[in-house]
Amino acid sequence: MEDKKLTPKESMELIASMIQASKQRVAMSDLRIPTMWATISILTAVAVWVLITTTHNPWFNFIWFAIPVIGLPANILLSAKDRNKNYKKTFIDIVIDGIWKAVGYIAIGATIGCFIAQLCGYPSAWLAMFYYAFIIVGFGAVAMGLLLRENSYVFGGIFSIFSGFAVIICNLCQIPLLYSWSVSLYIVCFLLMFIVPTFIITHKLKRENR
Amino acid sequence: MKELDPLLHSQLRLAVMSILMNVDEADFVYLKEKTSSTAGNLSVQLDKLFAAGYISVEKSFVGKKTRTLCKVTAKGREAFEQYVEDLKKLLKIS
Repeated sequence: MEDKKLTPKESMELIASMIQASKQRVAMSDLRIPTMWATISILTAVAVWVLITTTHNPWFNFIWFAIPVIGLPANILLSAKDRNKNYKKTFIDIVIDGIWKAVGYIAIGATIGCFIAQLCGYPSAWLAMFYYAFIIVGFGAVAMGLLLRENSYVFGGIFSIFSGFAVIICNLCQIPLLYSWSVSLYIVCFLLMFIVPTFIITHKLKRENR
Repeated sequence: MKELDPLLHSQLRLAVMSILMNVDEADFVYLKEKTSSTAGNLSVQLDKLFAAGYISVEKSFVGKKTRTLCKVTAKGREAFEQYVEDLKKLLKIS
């Protein structure tokens, strides 16, 4: 492209083509971070589930801390890697970043709250983290889906929110809920919220590129 | 007939402004790739847009590399919208 003068018609065509060229609503690099968190969450849940159901030792619940311990450094690494490539940020990118930052800060706050409750002799307070994972993360997925106009995120998020309310209702009504049911529901929710939409978007991007 | 803004009525500057109107911020490499321009030419045109106050340019370091981040300003947004309005009038598009 040069610094040449244009006719009005050429100007209009150029504006339209540049908008089209920079329009891509989502790039694979944008999906890497949520997919990484979802993968770590699912693998951790599987590890906890297997170890607790086979050994019945509640200390294995500490493995849940693998999510922030592995996830935070991985997030920093992936963000730094993305910053090295050609970079653009749309308003939607900024809003999505804000949503996930808010979800992350709520997680930190909730973890501190649960930890204090445990020190005060209420270890069952950690159940609140399950509600967080189902409902708050679910809201994040719904918001991201609405912004990206990707229905699979919306569907996964709504499924997760309803699952969270179902778990709360069972607890409030003192309906016994097997640990393995809750953990497997958690795994299904994260698969539907993040992994399935990633596959769908990857497929769509490949088709668009073709 | 009103004359089109000479600063925007040039292929590369208009392409850069169109991209920056669509994305919130973009770096030099992204703009170079999308406009298929040379680094030297793009740099000159970015300077002209910056001097006119149509874009803001922020230079920073990412690791050992420099990054030039461009963002359209309120003045640039207004000028671009006016330019499109003038184009529509010229082309008689309602």
